Amino acid sequence: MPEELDRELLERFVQGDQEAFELLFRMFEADVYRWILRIVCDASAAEDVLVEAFWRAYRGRTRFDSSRSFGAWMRRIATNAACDHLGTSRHLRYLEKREWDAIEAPPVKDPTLHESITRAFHKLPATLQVVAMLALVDERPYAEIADALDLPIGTVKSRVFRAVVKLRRELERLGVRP
Amino acid sequence: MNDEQVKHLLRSAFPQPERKEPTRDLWPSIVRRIEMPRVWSRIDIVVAAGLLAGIAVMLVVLPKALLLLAYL
Repeated sequence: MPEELDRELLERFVQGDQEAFELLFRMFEADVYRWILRIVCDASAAEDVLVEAFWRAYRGRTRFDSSRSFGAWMRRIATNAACDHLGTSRHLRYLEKREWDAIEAPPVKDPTLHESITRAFHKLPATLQVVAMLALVDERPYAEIADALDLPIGTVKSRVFRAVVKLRRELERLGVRP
Repeated sequence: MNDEQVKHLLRSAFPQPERKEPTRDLWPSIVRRIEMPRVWSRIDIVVAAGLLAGIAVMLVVLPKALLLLAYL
């Protein structure tokens, strides 16, 4: 994320200057979008969550410390908004092929295997889905995930461990073999 | 199935999305959201009404509780 930010711009944002906020939005929009898309796996939902995240950032701007990283703060808000989306949308479904087309990334060749893996993944609680996606699929560092989720690194590690155990159990129940 | 095999299966099911940015300009939606007046939901109203009713009942039953409220 772009981090070399003008302190004055951040202070104007904290004071409620919408022009400053728009500049920040333009700078961080793409990065935050990609981060959210990775968590929610749905291009259309990612756009809604992005709007929600920036709205939350504006609403909570007085809590932002302009000496800190705007990118890290924004990512934390985006992660919370994405988790809320996962929690409320009851993501217990597998992604249809058209949805993969929508994010322009092909799924695995075997549709039955793909369905089983995504079904097992979406059976995880939202808190475990997020860490599993960021740590296991995206291979983000634990420290970065911990910062985005506002959690100690140890908690992230234990969530990853629990996610793997649950996934393994569910995949085996569904008859998936590596 | 070991951890690496679980990871491999996950990565195969969730490849890196190629889309890098939203399909449309989302700034107007954010501005609309900011300018939208804050609306109280039914739950907010019920909770607020319940809280006020609870305080009123407590004051009727225990008038000395007013002193407790003065500390808050």
